[in-house]
Amino acid sequence: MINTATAEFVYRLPGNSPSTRPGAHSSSSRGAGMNFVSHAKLTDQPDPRRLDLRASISNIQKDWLVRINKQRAAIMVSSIVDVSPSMRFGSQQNKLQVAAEFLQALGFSAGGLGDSVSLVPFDSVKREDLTMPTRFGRGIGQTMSEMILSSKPTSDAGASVDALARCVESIAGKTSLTFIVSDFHWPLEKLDRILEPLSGSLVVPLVIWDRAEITPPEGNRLLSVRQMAGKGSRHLWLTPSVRRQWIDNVSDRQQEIADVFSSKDVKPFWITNGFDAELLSRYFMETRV
Amino acid sequence: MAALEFFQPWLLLLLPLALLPLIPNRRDGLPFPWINWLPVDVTGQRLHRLWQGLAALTIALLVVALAGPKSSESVIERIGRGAEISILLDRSASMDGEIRRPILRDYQLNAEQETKNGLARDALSWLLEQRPENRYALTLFNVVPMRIAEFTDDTEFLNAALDATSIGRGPKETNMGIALLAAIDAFNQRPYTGSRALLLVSDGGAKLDEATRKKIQEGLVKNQISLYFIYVQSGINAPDFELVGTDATSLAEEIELHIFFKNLGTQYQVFQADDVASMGEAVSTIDSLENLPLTYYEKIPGMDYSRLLFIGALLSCLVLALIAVTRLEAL
Repeated sequence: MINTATAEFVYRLPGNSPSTRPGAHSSSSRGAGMNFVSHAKLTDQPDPRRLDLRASISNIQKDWLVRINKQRAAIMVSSIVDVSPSMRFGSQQNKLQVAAEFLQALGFSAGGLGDSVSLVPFDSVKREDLTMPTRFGRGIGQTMSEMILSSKPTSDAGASVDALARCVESIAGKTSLTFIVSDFHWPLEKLDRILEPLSGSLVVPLVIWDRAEITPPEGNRLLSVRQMAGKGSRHLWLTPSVRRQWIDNVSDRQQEIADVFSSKDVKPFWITNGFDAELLSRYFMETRV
Repeated sequence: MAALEFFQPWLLLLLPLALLPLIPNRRDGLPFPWINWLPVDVTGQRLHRLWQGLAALTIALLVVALAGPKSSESVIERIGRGAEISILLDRSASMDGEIRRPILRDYQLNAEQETKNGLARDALSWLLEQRPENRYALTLFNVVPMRIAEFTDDTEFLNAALDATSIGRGPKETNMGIALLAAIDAFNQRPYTGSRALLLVSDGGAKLDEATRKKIQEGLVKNQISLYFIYVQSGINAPDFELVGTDATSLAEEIELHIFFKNLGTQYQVFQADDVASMGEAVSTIDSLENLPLTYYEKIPGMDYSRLLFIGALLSCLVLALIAVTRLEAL
C-alpha cells in the first residue's frame, strides 16, 4: 500500500518565519544562529560568549558589544487534504493513495527538520474526525496516511469550497507552509478569497490527477461515464476530434488552476504519474528562493 | 375485426419494468471524477439514447410476449354444401318380407313382389346417385348395430355396401335404441360443415327405456341432427301415423317410437312408404330438405403473436450487444 522506503523531500520557505521555536528555517527571532543581525551592549545582552572584540574596540563609546544573530526556527506545516469521492479515482493507484504517499514523505521530511505538521482533511464538510492537530515527530507521516486511506467519504457530494474555507480558517495565522492536496475538481471562483487568511503562509497546491482522467482511451469506442460526486453523465463516441477536445479541456483546466494561484505567486505542483519526492524537492529549489 | 387479446393479461402489470433502462442508473457509466472537462458528444449521446430505447423496447417486447398476445378468435361465415346423412337401415328378418300393397283390383296384374329391404335399397341408391356430394354413413342394425361405412362421399363404396344388405337373412330381433345411438355417434367429433340428418329406415318400432331415450335426445340435440323416419309399412294392419294422437302409452311400438321422436325437440319428419313410389317420394323429399346450402360460422382461432415479439426482442438484444461490445468497460 505504501512504500516502506519512505521518500523524503526538502522544502524551503522564502523570507523569515515568525516562529520562535528553534529549527531549520530562517526566522525573524533573535538567538543562537549564524546570521548576524546587529550589535548590542553587553549590559543589554549579558552573554559574554558573543562578545565581539573587534567591534568593541572600534566602538566610539567604548562599550562592550555583543553580536546578535538570527535564530533559525522550526515552522508549522499544514496539509489540507481533499478526501472527497473523486479522490478515490485512479486506474492503478487512486489519487488518495498518491496523497497518502505525499503525507508520509511530508511527515518524514518535516520530522527531520524539526517542523510540526498538521492534517486538515475535507470533503463536502471539514472532516473533524480525520483532523490531526499540530505534531512533531518522524512517524506522523505514517499516521496521517493511514488516517486518510481508511477514511470514507461523508456523502456522495463532491468536495466543497466552503469546507475548504473552514479548514483554512482553522490553520490561518499559525501555519507557515500550507499544502493543499486535491484534484481541484470543484469550482475555483471563490478560491482566491478563501485563501486570503493564509497570506502569511506559503501555499503550495498539489494537484493530483490520474493518468486515466487526463488521457483519453484509444480506439473508436463508446465511453459512458458518470460524475463520481454529484450528478451528471457523459456519453462519448471516442473519435480523434473528441479526444483532442478532451485533452484541450484538460489543459484549459490546468491553465485555470495555474491562473488562480499565479496571483499568489505560486505555481501548482502537478502530480499525474504517482508521487515523486525528488520532483517536489526540485519544485522547491527551482521556484523558491 | 381481430382485436388483440392476451393469454395472461396480468403479466402486462410487469410492463412498467420497461422504464427501468430510462432511469439514470449509477451502474450505467464508469465513475469519473470530473466530467466537466469531457466534451459533449452528440454521437455518443445518440448512441446512449438508442441503447436506452432499445433496452426499454426489449423489456417491453418480452413482457408483452410473455403475456401471450393473440388476435381474438374471429368468426368466419362459411357456406357448406352437401349434407351429412347417417343412414340407419333395419336389417332384421322382417325387412326381408314383402311390402304392404293395396288390395289388387281384378284388372290389376299381380306384380312381382318386392321385399322391403330391396325397396329401401333402391330408394337409397337413388339418393346416392342424385346427391353424390353429400356424405353418407351407413349403419345396419338388428340385434347389434353394424357400422358399414363412416361418413364418405364414395358412392361406389356405399352402393356396394347397400347391395351387400340383400345377402342372407337377418335375425328376428331388433335393438333400435343401441342402433340409434350408434348412428348418432357417427356425427360425434366431426366439424359441423353441413346439415345433418339421421335417416332411419325401418319397418317396426321399439320400446326404448328411459336412459336410452335421454341419450338419444341429447345426442340429436348436441349434434344438431334432424331425424327422418322412413317407416316401411309391414302389412295391412300396420298403424298409420297420420291417424295417431300424442298418446305415448300406445301399445304399438311404432307409434310409441313415433311419438317419442315427435317430442324430441329436433326436426323430425316421418314418411310412411308402402311401395316403390312412395319410398322414392320420401327419399326425394329428404333430399330436397337436406340439400339446402348451409350457412354456418367457423371459429378461426386467434393468431399467436408472441413468437414475432420474441424475435423482435432477440433482434434488439443483438443491437444492444453490439453497442455493449463497443462500450469501454474500464478507463
